[in-house]
Amino acid sequence: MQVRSSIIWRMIAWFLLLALIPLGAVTIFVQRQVNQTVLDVELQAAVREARLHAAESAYHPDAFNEHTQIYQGTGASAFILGTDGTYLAHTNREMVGSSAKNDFAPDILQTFFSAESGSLDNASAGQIIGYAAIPSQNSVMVVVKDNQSVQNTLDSLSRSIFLQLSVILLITSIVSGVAILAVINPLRTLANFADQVGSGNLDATIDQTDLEGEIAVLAGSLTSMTARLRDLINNLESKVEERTRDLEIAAQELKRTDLMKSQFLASMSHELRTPLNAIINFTQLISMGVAGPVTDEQMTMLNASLGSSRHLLQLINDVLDISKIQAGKLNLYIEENVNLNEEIKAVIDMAEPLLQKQNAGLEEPIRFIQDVDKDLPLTACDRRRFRQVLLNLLSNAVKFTEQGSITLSAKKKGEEFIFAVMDTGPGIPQEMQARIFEPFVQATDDIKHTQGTGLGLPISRSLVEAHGGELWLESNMGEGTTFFFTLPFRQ
Amino acid sequence: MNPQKPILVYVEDDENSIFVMKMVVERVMKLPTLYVLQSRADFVQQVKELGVVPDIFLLDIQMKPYDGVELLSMLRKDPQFKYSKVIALTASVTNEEVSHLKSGGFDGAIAKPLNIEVFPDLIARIINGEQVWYIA
Repeated sequence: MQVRSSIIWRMIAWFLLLALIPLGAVTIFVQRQVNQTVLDVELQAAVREARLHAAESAYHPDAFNEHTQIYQGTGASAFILGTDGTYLAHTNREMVGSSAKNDFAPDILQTFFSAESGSLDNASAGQIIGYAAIPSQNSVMVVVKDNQSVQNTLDSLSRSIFLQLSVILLITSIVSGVAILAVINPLRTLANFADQVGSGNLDATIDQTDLEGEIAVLAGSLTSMTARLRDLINNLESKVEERTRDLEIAAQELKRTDLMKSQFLASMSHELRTPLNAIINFTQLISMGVAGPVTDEQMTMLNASLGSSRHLLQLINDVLDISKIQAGKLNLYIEENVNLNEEIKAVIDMAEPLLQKQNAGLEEPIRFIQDVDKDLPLTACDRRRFRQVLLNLLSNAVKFTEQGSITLSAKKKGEEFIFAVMDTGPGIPQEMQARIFEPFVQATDDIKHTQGTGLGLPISRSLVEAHGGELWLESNMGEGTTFFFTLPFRQ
Repeated sequence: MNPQKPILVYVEDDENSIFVMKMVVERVMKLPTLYVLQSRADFVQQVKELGVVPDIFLLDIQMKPYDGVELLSMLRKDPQFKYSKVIALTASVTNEEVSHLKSGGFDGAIAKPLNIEVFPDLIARIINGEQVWYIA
C-alpha cells in the first residue's frame, strides 16, 4: 500500500480556505473603518474651513477671493450663499449671481441655513460639504469637496492591500505545502517501512539519509525494533528446533528403553524359569520316590518346597502379565467353540487339591457347591485366560474361607455368561473393595494369607475386560464375598 | 510301533531338563528308549543314525543355535518322519507363542515345568493320535 499523496493537496486547500475567510473579513472591516474615519476627518475639515472662511469674510469683504484661491485646480469649491439661494461669491466666478437650486437639492440648501455651522456627506454627488453662517450677514459660507477622488484612492489602497495579502498568503501556502511535503515524505517512508514489516518482511530497511530530528529518531527506533523482532523470531525458531530435537531424542530413548524392558522381561522369564523348573521337577521326582523312599517328614518338607517354588513361578508369570497389561500389550488368543463346561471342570479339578489341603486343617470341612448350568453354549474366548481368571477367584475363595461354603455358579443370561464365586469368608471392608484391584494390594495383612502375589485380581479384571466383560465384587463384613464376572457370548 | 513302548527323542540344551526328562521317562514311565539329541545343523542325520523312527519328538523351543521351530522344519522336509509326532516343550506359554507353534506345524505342546504327574498320560494321549496342548 502506498500512502496517498492527495493528503498534501487537501491540507493546502483547507489551509487556503481557512486563511482566506478571515483575510477577506479583515479586509472588508478595515476598508469600512478607514472609509468612515476618512469621511469623518473630511467632514470636520470641511466645517473647519467653512467656519474659517466665514469668519474672515465677516471682517474682510475681499477675504473670500484671497483665501479661496487654495481651491483653484482641486476638485473642491467654495461659495457664499445668500438667503435667497443665489451665489454671492464663488470660486468659479461665472457662477456668481446664479441660483444654487440648480446645483443642490432643496433639503441640502435648507440645511445650510438650519445651523450655525455643520457638515454633510452628499454621497449621491460624491461631495463632502462644510458650511458656516457668516456672522452678522444673512449668508452662508459653503465649502464643497470632491469625495470621489478620496474614495477612489481609498478603494485602490484596499485593493492593493488585499492583493498584497493574497500574494503573501499564496506564497505562505506554497511554502507550507513544501514544508508539509518535507514532513510528509519521511513519514511516508516510515509508513511504507511499517507496512512492509507488518506484512512480514522483517528484512525491510529505511533510507535514513534525508531524515532528521524526531523523524530520524522514530526511524532509528523502528529499525532497531524490527531488528530485535527479527532476532527474537530467529531465536524462537532455533529454540523450537532445539526443543524438537530434544523431544525426538527423548522419544527415541523412550522407545529404546521400552524395547529393553520388553527384552529384559522376556529373557528374565526364561532365565528365571529354567532353574526354577529344574527345582520344581527334581523336588517332584524326589517326592514321588524316584530317588528312594521318602519319610513323612521329608515329604512335608518337599511339598513345602514345591509349593514355594510354584508360588515363585506364579509370581514371575503374574509380573510378566501385569507388565504386559500396563504396556497395553496384552493380546488374547481367542479360540472358536470353546466348551465352557469343560473349562470349568478343568478349573475345579485344579482347585480341588487346594480345597482339600485347606480342609485338612479344619474341624468342619468347607462345602463346595456347584451351580453350573449344564450345556453352556460353545463360545469364542481365550481358554487359558478364562481358566486363569476362574482359578484365581476360586483359589482366593479357598484361601480366605475357613468355615461354611464356596459356591461356584455359571449361567447364561441373554447375550452373556455370568460367573460368580461366593464364599462365606470374613468379607472385604468397603474401603478395600476398590483398592484390591490395584497391583500389589491385598485385602488383609494377615501373615497366613500373604501366599499371593497381589496381582491376581488386577490381572483377572484386565483379562475379563479384554474379553469385553466386567469383573466386580459384592461383600458384607462377616458374611462373605461374591466375585462376579461376565463374558460376552460369541458364536 | 509299540504303543506301550514308544520311542522318544528329546532335544534340549539344559542339563537339568535332560536329567529330569530321563528320570521321568526311565524311572516314572519305565520306558527304556529316550534318545537325547543336540540342536545342530545335522539334526536329521543324528536322528537317522539312531536306526529307528521315533514315535515322538520332544523339542525344546528356546534353544541355540537352532530353536525347536527350526528343527521341526528340518524334520518335516524328510518324509521318513511324517508319522512321527512332534511336540514343543516351552516355558513361554504366551498366546503369541502358542499360535506360533500351532501355525508352525507342531502336533502339540507341553508347558514347562513338566507336570510329572500328568506327563505319562499326555504321552499316551499323543500316541493315540490326540492333539495335546497342555499349556495351562
